[in-house]
Parts: sequence; C-alpha cells; structure tokens
Amino acid sequence: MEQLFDVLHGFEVITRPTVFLYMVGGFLTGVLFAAIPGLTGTLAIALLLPVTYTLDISTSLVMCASIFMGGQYGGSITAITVNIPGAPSAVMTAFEGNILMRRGEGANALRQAALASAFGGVIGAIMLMALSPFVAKAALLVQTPGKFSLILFALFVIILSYRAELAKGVIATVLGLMVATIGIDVASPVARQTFGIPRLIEGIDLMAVLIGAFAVNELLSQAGQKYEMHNVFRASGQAIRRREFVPKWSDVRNIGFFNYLKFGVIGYFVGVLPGAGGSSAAFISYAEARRSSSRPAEYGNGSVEGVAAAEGSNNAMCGGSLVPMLSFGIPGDTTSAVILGVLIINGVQPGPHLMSTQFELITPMMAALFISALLIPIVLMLAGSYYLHLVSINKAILFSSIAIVAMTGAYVSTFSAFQMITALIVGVVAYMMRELRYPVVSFLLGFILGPDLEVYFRRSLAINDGDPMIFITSMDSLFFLAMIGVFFYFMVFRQSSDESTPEDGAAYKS
Amino acid sequence: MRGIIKGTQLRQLCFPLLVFIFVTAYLVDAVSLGRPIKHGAPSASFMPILLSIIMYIATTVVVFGIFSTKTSGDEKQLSNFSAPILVVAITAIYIGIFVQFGFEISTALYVYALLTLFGYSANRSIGGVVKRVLLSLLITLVIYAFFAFGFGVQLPTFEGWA
Repeated sequence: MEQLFDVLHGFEVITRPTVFLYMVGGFLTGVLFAAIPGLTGTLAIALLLPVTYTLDISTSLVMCASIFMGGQYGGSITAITVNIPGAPSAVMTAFEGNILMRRGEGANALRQAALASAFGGVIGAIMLMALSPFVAKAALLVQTPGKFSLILFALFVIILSYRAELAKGVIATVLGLMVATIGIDVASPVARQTFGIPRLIEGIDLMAVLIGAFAVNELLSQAGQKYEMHNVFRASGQAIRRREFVPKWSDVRNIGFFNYLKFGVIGYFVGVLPGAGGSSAAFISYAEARRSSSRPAEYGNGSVEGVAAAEGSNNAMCGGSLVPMLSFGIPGDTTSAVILGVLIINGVQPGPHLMSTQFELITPMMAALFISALLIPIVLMLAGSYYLHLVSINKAILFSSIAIVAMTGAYVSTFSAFQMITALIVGVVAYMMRELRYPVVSFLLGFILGPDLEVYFRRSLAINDGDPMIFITSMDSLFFLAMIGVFFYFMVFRQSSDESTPEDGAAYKS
Repeated sequence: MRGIIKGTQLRQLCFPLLVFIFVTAYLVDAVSLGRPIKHGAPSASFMPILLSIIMYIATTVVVFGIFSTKTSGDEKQLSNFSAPILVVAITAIYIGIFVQFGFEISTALYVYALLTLFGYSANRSIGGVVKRVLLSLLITLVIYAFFAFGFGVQLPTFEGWA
C-alpha cells in the first residue's frame, strides 16, 4: 500500500510545471536525437549529464526517463521514412516500415509505430511500477557472494550477447574492468594503476567516460564519413497529410490488444536481461509475431504487425531495463547505464536499499516513463509532418554543436581540463573499438560494474577466511553461477556459430 | 597466412597491439603493488593481475583469429581515418587553449575549424568564410547561453578581458 502511495506521489511530482516541462523537453530531445541518423537517445542523456548537477535528482531522472522513452520511439521515424534506423533497435522497423512507406502507406506505418510504442511503453512502465517492490524484496535476499556472482553473471551475458566474436567481447569488457581499477583501491587506502600520473589517483570520472564513449566516439565516426555530411536523405513515397497522422480505432483493432500486450511483456522481460537492450527486444518480439501471425505472408513485404511488434517491444524494454539497474545497480542496456551514471554522480546508490527506503525518489521517473509513452501518439499528431524534415538537418552544424556541448560538459564535471582530455582519450579508444567491431557497450558496463565486482569478491573472501568455496556453498551465489552455465549452453552451444542476428551488428554502434 | 600481412589485417592488429602495450604497463604497475594474496585474502594487486592474464589470453585469441580468417574483397569498407585524426588534433588544441583563452575565443575557433573540416560552405570565397565565422559565433553564443544562463554554469573567460 505504501508503494502505491509512492507511485501516486511520483505522478504528483511530474504535474509540477517545472518538472513537467523537463519531461516534455526531455521527451522531444529524445525523439529528435533518435530520429537523426547517427544520434541516439543515449547520446542525448550523456550530453545532458553535466546539467543534472544543477537539478534535483527526481527532476534529473524524470528528464532521463522521458529522453529514454522518446529515444526508443524516435528511431522508428527515419527507419520508416528513409530506411535508416535512427537507433539500433529500429532495424526491424526499417525492414518492414520502409516498404510500407514506398508503397504509399507511410502514414499507416508511422501511426502504428507510434501506437505500438505507446502501448509498449505504458505496459513496461506499469510492470516496472507493479513489480519493482517485489524485485527489491527479492534483491534483499541476495548476500555478498551472491552479489558478486550476479555481477559476474551480468558480465557473462553481456559478453555472450556478442557471440559472433566472443574474444572481442572479453577484451572490451575486461578493458572496462581494468580502467575501473585506476585510482584508490576499493578495499584499502592504496593508490594503484596510476602509471605515475598523480591526477589518476582520483580515478577516471564516469562522466568523462560516458561523454567520450558516446559523444566523442560519434563525432569521430561522423568525421570518418565526411562524404555524407551534405547528404539530404529523401523520404520515399508520397507526401503525407497532417490528418493522416491521427491514430484510428481500426489501427488498434488491426493488431489487437492481446498482441500489444504480448509485445510489451516480451520487451519488458528482454529488457531485464543485462546487455540485451532494445535491439534484442525488437528482434525477439518481431520473430515471435511472425511465428504466431495469422498473416505471415505480409512479413518481409511491409507488415504493419511487424512494425508494431518491434516498436511495442523496444519501448516496453525501457521499463524492464531499469529493473536490474534500480534493484542491483546492474544496467540492462546502455541508456540505463547512463541513467545509473546520473544516480551515482548525484550521490544515490542503486540497490535494494534505494528501492525499499527511497522508493519515492524514483517513482517520478517511473511516472515519467508512463506519461512519455502517452505523449508519443500526441506528438505524432502535432508534429508528424515535420518528421520528414528531420533528416535534412545540416550535419556539419549538428556535430560541431555536439562537440562543444560534449567537451564543455566534460569540463563542467570537475571544472578541469583534465576531464576533457580523459573524454577525448576514451572517445578515441571507443571509436577504434567501434571501427574494429569491439562492443563499446561491454567496455562501458565493465567500467561501471567493475568496482562492485571487486568489492563483493574481496568482501566475500574476507568473511570466509579467503576460502573461495563460499561462492559454491552460498545458495544465491550458486544460483547465479548455474545461470552462467545455462546461458553459456543456450547462447553458445545451442546457437550455430555463423548465425547472425540484427542485434549483433547493432551492438557495435554504441 | 602466406607471410604477407594485408592492409585490413594490419588495421585489425592495431587495437590488440595497443591493448597489449597498455596491459603490459598495467601489469608492471600491478606487480609493483606487492603480492596478490596477503594474509590469505586478495590484495589491491589481485584483480589487476587477474585481469591482465585474462586480457593476454583474449588478445592472443583475437590475433590468431585475425591471421586465420581469410580476407575477402567484399569486406566492410573501413572508414577513412584522416578526418577523425584531424578532429582529434583540433580537439586536443581546443582543450589546450580552453582555460587560457576562455570559452568564447577557444570555442569560436574550434567550431570554425570543425565546420571547415566537415565541409560546411566549403568554397574558399569571402562569402563562405564569413558564413562560417558568423555561424561559429552564433553556435558559441547559443551554447554559452545554454550552460551559463540555462544552468548557471560558470565557464572560463579570457583573462585579458578580466
């Protein structure tokens, strides 16, 4: 009952004019960033990270949640209109949606993407609000050895999700873990891995890493594709009139409530898995929709149901990916990793304690996910006709501006040029990784989870006189270790090694 | 592998080589911290040493993979690296002058350089230069307003103006 009041309090918070403005502004920023090829909602949050210092934590989280929701949806716009997925999670949407666009059914595809995104987002947010208290209670049962094994499990899943090149996944993840060890030791007052550079005693700042991994990386990548700077993508198909963007009841009936619910539930639970993300959610949901469809012949030839499956699922993933992040401090995808950064930077430690004693702090964020999802079809009706112009924004101006915001943001984190240098170095490394197909997201999650992994490992051994058997004799730990085995079996042995899925390719992008 | 290292393989080898150098320096630093296990429990050097060993193994596997994979003509075209290197150089200079020259001057110069590099109004006519200068000033002003007035962040200013 107390949790219900906290949730209602969350909705009350976002009705406050200032918070509401940040929510709407965040949502539109997310849509805009995701709709422009090369930019993502995650990049938007990373760029706005420094300004969260000046906001209270609830407002910051509301803004992040609405960018997250807008960012998941926005990728579908250019996916449908010009066949360029604005976000990796919109690959399947592009596959089906652009065929519809070229057939002159673009408005139908855009309406369905918006409706499914709204349904999926709402389902994900409701499940997050309803299940979070129970997950938090379960999280309290996990002891120190179990926490170590859980983080190890998360890192394994992240590595295994890039099964095409496991060794590269290992290198990326371990590199993140290594960078996380720079600075003061987590269990003793010893400076380590500083390479004789005194500034490194403080460690590597999370903000600089996030800005480097997303903003600088993207800037360098776009510079490498200079020839595309003046490309103005042309939307295929005929012009769409404003009234065609108004969702119809027949659109809902065409897909059916049960299917929307199914796509949403799939997206939510895929989101809960560490490292899975929106691309996996969209692909799995699309595959399930195709398998169970009464109109299978439409798939591959412009299926509205396929668009709905992908979009409904990747927006529901928003709610799911926040579950492990809030309950255990383990992000489900890159965006929730950046939101985790917002929490840490603002002095809030995610985990069962946060969920049980400071639940009211995060309920505005949950409410923002819910309301932002409802904004999707409304914004389509009001601004749908402008969507077609998003791709013609001059990239030279865009990326010059992003470079300044990123560098200034890195400076603002500690008011030191050293963080700008760190962001630049991380950006260069991330760019090299991306070009050579090493998953940057693994590096990032390794960096974020590294300190906790080491703390729980050493604490577990300390309380058991250095005997590693504690990880086997502790039931919660054994459970997560067994899960590693199960995942390894299903994701490596049961999958043919040459099988390629869209999420494999998308993973390298961010 | 026929004794010849192809261009794509060389590019693929760059990153493992950098990782190898980093890990070696990292391991030397870790070893200098002392024994990995003290009084029966892992010490500060335990995790860095363990990670270094894992990294050496993974790097070796990747390097073997690069040499054992047949390269074909239809591989993904890797990006041109000259423009990214220029962006890194320009950004490094920007960071170098940021505090001394202040946000306004350094940022305007940085934006101008980036616009030129990205080919905005690429012609060398006076008009093109003026267009880039005006745009650089406008972007600098807008972003200054965003940070300074929007969020109350104090940015460095040119000391000569103080």
